[in-house]
Amino acid sequence: MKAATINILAIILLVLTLSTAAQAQIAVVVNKNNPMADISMKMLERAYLGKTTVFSDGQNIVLAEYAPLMESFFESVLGMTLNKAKVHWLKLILSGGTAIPPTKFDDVEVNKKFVMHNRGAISFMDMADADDTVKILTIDGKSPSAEDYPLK
Amino acid sequence: MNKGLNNRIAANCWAKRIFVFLLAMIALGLLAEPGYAEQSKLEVYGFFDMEAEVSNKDAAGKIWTFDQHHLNIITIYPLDNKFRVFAEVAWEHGPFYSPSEMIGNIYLARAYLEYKYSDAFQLRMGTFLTPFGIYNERHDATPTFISTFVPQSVYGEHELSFMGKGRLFAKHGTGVQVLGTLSANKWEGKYQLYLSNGRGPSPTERDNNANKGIGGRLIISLPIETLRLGASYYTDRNGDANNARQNALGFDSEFDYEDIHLETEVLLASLERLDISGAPSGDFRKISGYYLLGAYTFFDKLTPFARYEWIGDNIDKDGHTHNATTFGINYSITPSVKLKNEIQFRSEGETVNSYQFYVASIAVAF
Repeated sequence: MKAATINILAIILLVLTLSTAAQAQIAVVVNKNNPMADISMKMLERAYLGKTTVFSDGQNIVLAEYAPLMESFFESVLGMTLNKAKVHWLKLILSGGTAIPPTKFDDVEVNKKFVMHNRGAISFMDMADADDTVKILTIDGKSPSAEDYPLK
Repeated sequence: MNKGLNNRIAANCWAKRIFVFLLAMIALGLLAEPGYAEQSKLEVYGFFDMEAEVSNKDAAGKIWTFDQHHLNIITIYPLDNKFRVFAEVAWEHGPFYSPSEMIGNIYLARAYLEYKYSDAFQLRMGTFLTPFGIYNERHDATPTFISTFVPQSVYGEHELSFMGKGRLFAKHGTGVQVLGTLSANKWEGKYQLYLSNGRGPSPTERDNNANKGIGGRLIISLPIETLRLGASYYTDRNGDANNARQNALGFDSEFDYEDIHLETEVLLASLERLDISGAPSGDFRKISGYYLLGAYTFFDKLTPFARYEWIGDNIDKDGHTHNATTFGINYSITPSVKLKNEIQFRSEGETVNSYQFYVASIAVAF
């Protein structure tokens, strides 16, 4: 009886954890010295596809990606699975494309430090992890707290 | 010394130069300061593939054979935010060079300095892959191909009576290239224009005639983002003893929707023989070719595909046609590692010399 209760609790905890991960609100962040405050979904897509390689102020874009949220980010922003996004980058690099592929981080603190130290960096992370060491961008004028924020 | 030995010595020298160049690039990368403040100085990429193949074209071909086909290393060295050096060295068919024998090929596939003013304007100076069609700039990077082989109708060597076998455009060009991407609303256009030595006996070193290899490529991505249309043009005069003026015009299209991929290319080319003074001699040939390819990916892993291609070599006069139908299935072990299987049914010439060709391969990108 006791074992069954523990099992049920474990399952509930697992479901809660998974649903929290699935509902993670993704914040798009840049270096604090980046003058940009807003980014369009189109520009975000073009940057992560390697089609746009410079910000409007002429700074080279340095892409970073946070591993735990890559799947949902690529699905929402690029409309691609992780595998398709990787294949896209392989084609781009091997055909001489000028964009540099994203640097992948498993640890959110390292991800933040990368953004903090790279003037042209752009990355994404869970909203709860985004602190004042990075600048959170609005997307198409919508802040992460807005109801219709596109990366909820 | 005979010519063969000279060639071998020259090839050995080139192999050594390439080795030293790679070592220097890697040393530069190791000297670069690590840390968050800047990206790693040297980026290294590449691809490798190995094939197992058999065909019933002739008795010798019935023997199963393995081919360690490609090992290519790409190094990219950013000098600063605007400049970078891009280089690719190819080792094809497991090269082995000694004074007595030469197996395979080692060559510099690309080496250029690139200046990026903006996304709309970049300049390349050096040796580049000719921007022509969907595949030429991907070179031999089989991990990014659906089939093991690029479509021969567009990228293959065609039988040409006065030039022997050859591609209808130069695979590489040495010279300058401008390129960039322009976008407006949901439209996007990529352009590439170049001026090169074209072909000749030593095209990376010098041009042997006043005519340059000239061409360009334009790719338009429509507001329907999954559809891309491209056009390519190449013209050149080969200054060998068999002088010829070449023109090649290609059109291509790719369509992706969910897990469906469709692509097609058409190539129209002409060759005109010239006399020693450069005047047309009256010998004129037309070559055309096309292919259609369809693929569907299941579970992000399994991709069956079919391709039909057709080539017409001077069919208005004394030429003949070829066609090939390919059926295959690929399995992506990871996005960078692909296992491919395909069978091609080929038919050549008016007498319909048909045969089958089976190839299995593993292709890895890194």
